[in-house]
Amino acid sequence: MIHVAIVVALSAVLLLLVRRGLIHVDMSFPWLLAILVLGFLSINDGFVSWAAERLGIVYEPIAVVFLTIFVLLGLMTMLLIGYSALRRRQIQMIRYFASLDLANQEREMHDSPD
Amino acid sequence: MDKSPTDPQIRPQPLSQEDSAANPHRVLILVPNYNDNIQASEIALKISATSPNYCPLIIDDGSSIPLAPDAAGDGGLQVRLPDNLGLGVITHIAFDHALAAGYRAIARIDGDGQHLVSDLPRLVAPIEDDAADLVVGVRVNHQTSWLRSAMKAYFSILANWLSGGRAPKDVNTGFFAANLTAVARLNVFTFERYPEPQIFILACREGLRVVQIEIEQQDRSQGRTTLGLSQALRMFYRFNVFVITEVMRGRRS
Repeated sequence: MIHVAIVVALSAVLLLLVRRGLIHVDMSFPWLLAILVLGFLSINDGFVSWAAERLGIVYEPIAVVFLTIFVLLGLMTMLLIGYSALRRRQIQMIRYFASLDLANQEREMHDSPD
Repeated sequence: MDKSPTDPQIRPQPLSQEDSAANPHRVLILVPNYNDNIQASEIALKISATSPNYCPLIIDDGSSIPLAPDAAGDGGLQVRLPDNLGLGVITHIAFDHALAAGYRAIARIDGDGQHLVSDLPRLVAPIEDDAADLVVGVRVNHQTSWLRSAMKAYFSILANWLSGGRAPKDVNTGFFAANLTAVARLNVFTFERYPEPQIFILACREGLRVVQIEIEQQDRSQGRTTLGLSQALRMFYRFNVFVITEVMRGRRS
């Protein structure tokens, strides 16, 4: 029962962070998915044994740790891609507004009587 | 609701043909500035005084203190970025404006006084004579630490290899000029934080006519370089990624 409570608590914390606007909803989705899938799969003894056997791991609980690390790396990569896209868009907007500002200054310079 | 830049109400009015044809003989001189406000302003005023065809453009890369409203003088332009985004973004903004406003050429001079404004006519001359698309001011008296010298040598070797021996001797100089052909060809690439080697190598690989002139770099009179050890390491990393990317894309010219 405690295992389920931990998974629910982690999901609740994530949703709270989204609710407060600290994490963007699109970026929170893979994390929520990872918490739920990994959380419930790690509770399932049959799955843990199966994963350990497939990965050639003698001490079965380590299989879940490996899977967690693998999923975390995947999530971090997804976040990096998301962050890079945001940065690219931010730069595009700054270029856009700078061009707007400079075009106005250029127009004023040409319109001035001097 | 917040307006997006694509909202028609705030979409910029493109410069009219009349406005964009008002600068056919003028050269836009980019003065990047980061916490060198007074010096950048002095350089802009000197640029305006050097020739009526020179239009200084100060781009403030998120300095801690904003520029004075008249920092670029009556005949100059200035824009302040909300955050420190690096020379790559600054170069793109200047290139965007040179293309939109129909300038004959663009030149870049550092805002910290390390380049002489009096060298600008010599830098721009090959472009005005249509003898070059890109002119690079190669520093002949550039003294630096052994680590930076080693990095510079490494950059030069790879730049020459990538450009088939056509790269300038100094690929890290911030004193260069380009005509609109070069600007249009180079502006489609994404420039990184210290974009100089990238710009010069791409120009050579795009088949542009690259000419170099010798200049003497002055001592920095105030402020300090933005290129600390951490930035230098990141620049080294970026350069290597750029080299690998270019090698993967294959030789073009």
